[in-house]
Amino acid sequence: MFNSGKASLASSPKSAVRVSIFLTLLIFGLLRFTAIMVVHAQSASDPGVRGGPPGAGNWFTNLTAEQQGEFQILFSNFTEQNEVSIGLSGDILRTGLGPRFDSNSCNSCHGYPAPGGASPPQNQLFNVYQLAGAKNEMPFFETPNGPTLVARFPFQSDLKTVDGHVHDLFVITGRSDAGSCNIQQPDFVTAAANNNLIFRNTPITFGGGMLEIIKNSDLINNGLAVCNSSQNQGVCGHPNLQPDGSVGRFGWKAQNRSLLIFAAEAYNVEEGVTTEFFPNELDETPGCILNALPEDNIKFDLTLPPKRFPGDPERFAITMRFFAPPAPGECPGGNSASCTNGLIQFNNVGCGLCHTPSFKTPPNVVTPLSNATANLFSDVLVHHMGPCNADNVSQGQALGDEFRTPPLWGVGQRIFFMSDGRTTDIVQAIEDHFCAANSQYVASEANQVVTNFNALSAQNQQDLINFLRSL
Amino acid sequence: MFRQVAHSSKTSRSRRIARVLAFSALLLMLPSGLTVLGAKQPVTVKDPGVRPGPPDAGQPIKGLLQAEQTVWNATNTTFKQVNSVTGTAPIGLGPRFNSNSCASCHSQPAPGGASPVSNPLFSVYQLDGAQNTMPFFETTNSGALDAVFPFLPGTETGDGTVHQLFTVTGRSDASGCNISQPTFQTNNLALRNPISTFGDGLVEIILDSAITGNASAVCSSNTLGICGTPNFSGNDGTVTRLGWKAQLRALQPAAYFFLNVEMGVTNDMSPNELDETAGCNPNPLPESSTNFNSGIPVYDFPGDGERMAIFMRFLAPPTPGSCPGGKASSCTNGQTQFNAVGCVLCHTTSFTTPVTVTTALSGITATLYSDLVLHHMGPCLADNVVAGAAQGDMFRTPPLWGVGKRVFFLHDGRETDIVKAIEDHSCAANGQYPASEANAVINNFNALAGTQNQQDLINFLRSL
Repeated sequence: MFNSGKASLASSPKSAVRVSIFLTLLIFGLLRFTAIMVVHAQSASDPGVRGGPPGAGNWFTNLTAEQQGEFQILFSNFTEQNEVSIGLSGDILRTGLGPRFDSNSCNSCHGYPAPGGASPPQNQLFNVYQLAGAKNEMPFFETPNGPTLVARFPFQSDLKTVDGHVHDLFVITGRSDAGSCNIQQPDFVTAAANNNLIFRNTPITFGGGMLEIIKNSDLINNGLAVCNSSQNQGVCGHPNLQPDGSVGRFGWKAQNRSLLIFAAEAYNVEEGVTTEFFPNELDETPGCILNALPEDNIKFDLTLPPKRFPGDPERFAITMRFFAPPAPGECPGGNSASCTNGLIQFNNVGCGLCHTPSFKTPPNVVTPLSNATANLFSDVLVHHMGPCNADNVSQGQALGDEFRTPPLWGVGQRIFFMSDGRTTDIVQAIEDHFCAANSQYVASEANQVVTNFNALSAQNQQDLINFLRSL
Repeated sequence: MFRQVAHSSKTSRSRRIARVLAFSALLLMLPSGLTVLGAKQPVTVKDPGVRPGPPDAGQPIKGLLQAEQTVWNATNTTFKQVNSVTGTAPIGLGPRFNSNSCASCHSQPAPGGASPVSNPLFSVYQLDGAQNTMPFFETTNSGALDAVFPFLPGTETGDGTVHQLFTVTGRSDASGCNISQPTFQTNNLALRNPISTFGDGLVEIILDSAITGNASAVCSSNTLGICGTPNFSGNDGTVTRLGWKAQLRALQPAAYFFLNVEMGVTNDMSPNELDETAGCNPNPLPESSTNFNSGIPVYDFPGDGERMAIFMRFLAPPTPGSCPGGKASSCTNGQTQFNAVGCVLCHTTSFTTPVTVTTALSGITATLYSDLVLHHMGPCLADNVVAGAAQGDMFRTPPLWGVGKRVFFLHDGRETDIVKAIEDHSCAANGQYPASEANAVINNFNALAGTQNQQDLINFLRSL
């Protein structure tokens, strides 16, 4: 059912797109009395996930000794597995899972190529969903080698009233630490049949400390410069402004302002752990609130080390803030000239219009975050991506067809691409940026750029792909 | 906005005239027999004003553990600290700001409360050489007011953000910064009066299902047209409940948010300055952040937002005081009338908190007199500001605990007379917004005119 629902949304316009690319290129070629470019479309191949060391997952090396000294405890919070109540392991610091949840640890989804990263090659939810006696069924869209996907319903069950929230995959019912809680998983089959089910793939958090501190004005001015440029190829994004007027920057729709609020949100939404930021459970069915609220909380014990005082979101945020950005690796094929040319082609065809190569951070109290160049390859703005990518979910000022330009640092080690993880082939991911308008949504802003990409020579195109996989 | 204020005071003037006429009509009836029967004089309802005596608020909630009390004492200092731009901590004020301390606006009748009678901004705006002019809507006795622009200036695009009143330009600790105050225009200006934070540690933890369950029970059972809707967090979908539009979820994110929005102090949740003009960002970001120094007290590890939230979370709800006029039976009857006319349909008497990790906040009856949901209040109160599910004419039912000590009423502080504040709940529809949901209740209230019942209702409110 998912296939029929989603296929009609994605595949058929895509084939129409290919035809239109072909025609465009053909006309373009004829006008120039050359047809060379046409034959090169789709000729590049994805070398795949870059081998070698992760190149990510470590803290910055130039933190103070006091900051660096906190790594073990703070990092262990990121990888800890939460349980429902104290009954299981006896560790009060790990209670709070559920009553609804997607997983039991940050690391289970943010695990590749290192903790803090994106979805791993083996879907970790298969190790989680029936843990401790839970009776969950695995939703049809989760597969052992697929991305870990979070589900949202664009609309409520009347299919009219806006919803847009995450609907957690699993419930704690049946777990030995979940008392008499008896609730059901959402009905994803019906939602899919009603074309009311969308997915979100896990983004990485590496380099998030740089991303959150880039000046609002730098992001806004960069976007305005592109919009006002005669060479923008139809690209013109806008910020997802927050209630204080600052620029949202985390998440597929740039809906979250900072690592701290993201950490607190995800703790409740993904794991069901209530905090001082979001202190109530998402499901309050009698028998299912098994702990005092909020389950994660400030520890009023003056004898503990200071880092133990605040709740987990503060520690998660620090952990992510101190993660260095992914380090680029070797150029696939071993020829570094290929990646050097690839970056030139990347900018020539116009990828760099949205995937802005870098921003500089302003002075910061944390040395490695201060006056640093963040090579994130993103403008951190949201763009219309056409009906083929639209998920009908509005978040803040990002509409149903708008997505944040995902940063490309670390993309060489990314397995799943696009908001819903629909492809593992980076060439296909680029092609998926192309989409014609329909009656509901405008065409993708990337159409001209993808057309340019398809017009590259085979070597230039492959170099561009190699460059991406070197990141 | 201001046109609406003017219009509304015109409305209340005509209502006053109507009341005078009604009263005169009653007087005319008197010789025809009532005096003969020896009946009492009709009662002219009057706000007894801010209740005198001790603040009845501002203390920590009873039952805190020793360590919680110790931390609260420290956070009390954070809430009252005066921020400067640069120099000795606490720093980070500006480049745009409304005031330099939480307690400057939240001080009546004690730190944590609402706007004091004398506008505190007059002692802030030109401090340390700042060259600010006072915006026209701030007067020495207007209460401290925030400014929100409903629309981006010159457009019909929604804005809805706070536009800070002042800049650091000219201050001796802000050399090199040269920015101007916003241009405040009456046709694009919504004003916001500070809200008391007492008891919010209870409010933030009330179950979502208790709030939504109460609201839907009211919708389906009353015949007076009252039906509120919750506001929801875009983050996790839970019920937001603090602020004039119930746009805020909990004290902790709210504290971090306002630390930057009201004072300009960047922090771990809101790490960039809201104005980045060259020369105006003298400090490394964020200005209030995690403290990794060894040997600090445990509560100094996180930034100020965390401590401000703890301070508010542990503030006890206001305690009701003696009934104005000294007759307890007046306030007892007043509450009966409050319920009978239908005030209680929105101003829900109480909620009970669930089991929480803080014993002092756990299983407590929070007598807040609010349903914590949004209602259409008509074009007379509408401010055209959209915040989440709250439309331009919708406001959260403000909790009434502590209202006996409140100086300014309604979101823009337009009234100091609680009787007028009640009358201001009444408003007919216009082409843009439906009528106020409170209209039938206000009619019921007005039907009490001339009776002791109406005065008792007012006395009850001022006893809270």
